[in-house]
Amino acid sequence: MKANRLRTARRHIGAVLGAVVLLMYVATALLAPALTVHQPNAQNLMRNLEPPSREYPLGTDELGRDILSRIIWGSRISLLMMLAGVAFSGIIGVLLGLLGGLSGPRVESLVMRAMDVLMVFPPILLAIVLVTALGRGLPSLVVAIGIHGIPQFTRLTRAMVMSLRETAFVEAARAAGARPLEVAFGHVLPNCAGPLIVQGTLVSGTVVLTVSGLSFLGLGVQPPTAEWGTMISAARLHMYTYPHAVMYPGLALMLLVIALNALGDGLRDFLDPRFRR
Amino acid sequence: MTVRWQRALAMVVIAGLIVAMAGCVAKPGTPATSDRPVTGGVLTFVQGADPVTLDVHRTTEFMSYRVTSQIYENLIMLGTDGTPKPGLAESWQMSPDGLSCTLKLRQGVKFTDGTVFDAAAVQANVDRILKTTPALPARRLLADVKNLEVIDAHTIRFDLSKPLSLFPYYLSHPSVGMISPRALSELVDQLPTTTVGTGPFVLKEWVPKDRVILNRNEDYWGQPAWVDQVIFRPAPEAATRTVMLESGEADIVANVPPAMVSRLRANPAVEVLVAPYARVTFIALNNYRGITADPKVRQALNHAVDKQAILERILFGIGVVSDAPVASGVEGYSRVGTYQYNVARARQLLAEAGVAPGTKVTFFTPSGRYLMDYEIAQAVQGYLTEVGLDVSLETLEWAAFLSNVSKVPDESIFDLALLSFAPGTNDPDWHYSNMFHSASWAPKSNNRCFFADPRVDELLELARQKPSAAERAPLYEQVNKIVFDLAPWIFLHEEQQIYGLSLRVQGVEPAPTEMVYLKDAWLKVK
Repeated sequence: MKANRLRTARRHIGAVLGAVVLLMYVATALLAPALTVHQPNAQNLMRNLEPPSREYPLGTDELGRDILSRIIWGSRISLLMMLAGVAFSGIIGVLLGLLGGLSGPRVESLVMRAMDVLMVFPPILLAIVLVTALGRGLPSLVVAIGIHGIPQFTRLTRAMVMSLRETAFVEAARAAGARPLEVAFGHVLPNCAGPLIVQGTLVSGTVVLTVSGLSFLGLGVQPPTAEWGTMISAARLHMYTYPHAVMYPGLALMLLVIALNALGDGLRDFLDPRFRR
Repeated sequence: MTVRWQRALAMVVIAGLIVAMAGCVAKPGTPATSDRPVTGGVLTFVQGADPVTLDVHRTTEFMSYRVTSQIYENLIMLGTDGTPKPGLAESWQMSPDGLSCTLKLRQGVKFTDGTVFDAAAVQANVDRILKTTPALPARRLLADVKNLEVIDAHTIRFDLSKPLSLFPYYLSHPSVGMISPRALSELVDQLPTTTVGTGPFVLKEWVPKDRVILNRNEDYWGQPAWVDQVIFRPAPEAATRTVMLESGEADIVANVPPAMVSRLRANPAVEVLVAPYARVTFIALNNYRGITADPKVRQALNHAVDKQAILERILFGIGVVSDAPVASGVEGYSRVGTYQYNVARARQLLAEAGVAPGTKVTFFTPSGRYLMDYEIAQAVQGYLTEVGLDVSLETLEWAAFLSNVSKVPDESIFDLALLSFAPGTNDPDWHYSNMFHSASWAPKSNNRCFFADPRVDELLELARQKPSAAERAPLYEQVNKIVFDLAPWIFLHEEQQIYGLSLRVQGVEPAPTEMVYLKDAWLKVK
């Protein structure tokens, strides 16, 4: 069995590469102070929009700041927001899913219809409305980027709960006198973990993109904090003349999102018996 | 036809093509074209927005004025040098006390509906501007007019309620264009879309959000316009406008962003026209409360910012570093100086003023309203961080920004705010009184930094009474010095207007108020 899984994993080179890339991003983010020569916000206006050089390996941006430093420090923001956003949508989504799956039909339809309402809105529009309504700042940003993921977690959890609640071990637990909360968290939830992890990985890609999208529009992370979307937004004015300033943060963003998606797809294949041969 | 003949024909065709292509890339100024204006052609002018209304008395923004000022004329016109020039009035005389202005009207001028232009026509226009309720936007320009006296059919006199020797400038503002009195009585409700003026062009068609087509006024009283037709088209995106110019779809494009200038300059088929502009961009410091209420702190902040670097690196060198609190093309300008970029000096002044490192300040900036506003604000944030301030930059869309810098002094919430100002009439009083007179404090008017100095108030009021520029000059010079020393702003730069022109366009010279009079424009024949 174990050997079989490993063999499958080897087949999923994409997933492994995704995991490696993600680990590299995490390492970069953690080691940011050690990896950078220039401060991310140190501005040298007289040397702005310089092409890559020995001193500035990826060139300088429109205010003469080191693009490499800003990308590295920006990874902290992106990863942090990713974790916070996924945690927000995951925790709320799973709780609502358990509630919907294990309580009566009335609560269930209430929860699920609420989720339908949430899914009606396009994710970026919902995020813009929320940031505008809640005001700027990191907490409201987390809500804005996380809210779209909630229904996905809820629906997934509920679907699994519905099949699990009929299984013998859940019935046995109930017969043994376990209380509803005990059944939910002790017996049902652990058996949903795999698909939820997959879902979480896939949602993180969207969350990273949404954070950068909001920042691009000026609604997310505020200057001078280095953030990829903000960097792209500021540099796009010089896209024709100095493409490097918009290209590198774009590449950093693209690579992370591809890695997260590859990892999510691979994990799904790995954990889902239907995809395993 | 034999093969040999076909081959020969092909050679001739190819040779012809090569010659034609060589003709296309020929440099401008080759003797093939004449330098004398020629009649004919259609000129397409592309700017950021469609007109809001063609009723000049109701208009408040220059995108509309650029269209209406081809159709309507003023008693006095602002010359491209920024001073008043004869328009529908041949001459004028300001009384020595600055309390009345007598104008001699041009004879033989007719509106395009056949109505004669005379004193009665001026009377009808002034009546409409002063008596319509709710007040028309044009009323602010004639706010000081007490009475219009018709002396004879071609002589009139404006009596003012207080001295305003700069009144001729006010008459040159596009908002006080002369509309046909018959139209004012019969078509007044249609004036937003119908026009009857005396100008070099007449309205042919306005397709909202798409184009305004103007034809030459064949019966114009002066030298008629050279081009047959002018088409104004809106294109909000600067990149779109640039592409329209490069593809030949546009002959003139307005408001080219500085970042695109080098690209246009590299294109041999177009040229870039940089024209002076009466606009100064600055950072208003809150003179009323907070750490910036101390002049020493304000001077420190001026030393902390490298204006030359901002001009060179963000505006790509297009503009001039401010060396006075007014643009150099406006009367009243006199060179005072610049605060040198000196971080050590800035730190020292801040320490002397007792400002501790890490002090928090709030900096408001609009985004996309003024040339490179957001980029400039970020650079300034960087510079102020350098001298130890903790700057929180609040980027707001225009309406929200404006409401935040339009609060009464006691409720004001900004320490710094990026602003820009150009006097609509290009006259010094409009600029100075709006910016520095204590009676102009926000929210009433544009003195948003709450600058107040009794000497300045007195000098400005005195200048309003002086009948000539020469007599006003020493007064404004003193104002410039006082304002510079008290540093109510971080002085940044004066902007310049940037247009992109197709090589065939000639005779275009924008006024410092962003007006482009197309009467003298003509198109080279290829």
